[in-house]
Amino acid sequence: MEKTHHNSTINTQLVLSMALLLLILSSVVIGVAKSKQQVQVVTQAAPESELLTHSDDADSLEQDLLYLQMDPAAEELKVLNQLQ
Amino acid sequence: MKKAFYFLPTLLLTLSLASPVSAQNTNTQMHSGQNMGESQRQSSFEELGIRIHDRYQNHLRLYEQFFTKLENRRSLLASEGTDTDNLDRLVRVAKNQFGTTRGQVDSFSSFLKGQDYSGGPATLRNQIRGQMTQVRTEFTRLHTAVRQIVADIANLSN
Repeated sequence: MEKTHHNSTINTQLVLSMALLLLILSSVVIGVAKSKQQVQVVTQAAPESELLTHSDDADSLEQDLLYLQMDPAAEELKVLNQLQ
Repeated sequence: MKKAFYFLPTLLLTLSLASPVSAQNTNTQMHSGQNMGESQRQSSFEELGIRIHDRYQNHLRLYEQFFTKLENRRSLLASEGTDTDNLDRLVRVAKNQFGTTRGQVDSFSSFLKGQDYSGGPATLRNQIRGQMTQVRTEFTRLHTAVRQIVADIANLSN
């Protein structure tokens, strides 16, 4: 009877230790994944440089002009303003 | 005794795995927390600066493509016997401005390389914004110059 109680205590401690170990490991995995995700947001590659149109007629030139007028780093400026 | 036999190895394994984690957590939260947070912030500013520079480089490449288009139109007009003297002058002005703009983008790159990112976030933000304003000013002048070329091409084509 005493032996059964003793074994049960050991098993409980073993299960608790393993649970603690799993908790620690999962927190490490989640932490690494989050930090990787954060870096990816900042280092996202800039898009390929291509004009809107592939023609040089008057309308295309006007469209390209509108595109060229845009601030290429507008999104980055928003991020910069929020960066702490 | 048996209790220790089962419990100790598990405890040791847990502690050995937990120690780097707890050291890492201490890094983020305690005294290294400041350094870690600071270096993370510096890194974020640095990465963002590089990304902004990439955007400007891409935009310069777009202008190069646009100049090629303008050159095609100019050649077409010249081959039709149209007087392109004024157009050629405008193209020269725009190309000079393109050089100035590229110089400003290069200055931005030099600024990023020389920056130690040791200042506070407000200082870093202001410094980068200041540089961006200078680059944008030159891009605006470049846009004005190419707009005049497009207007002249439209006039000559009519």
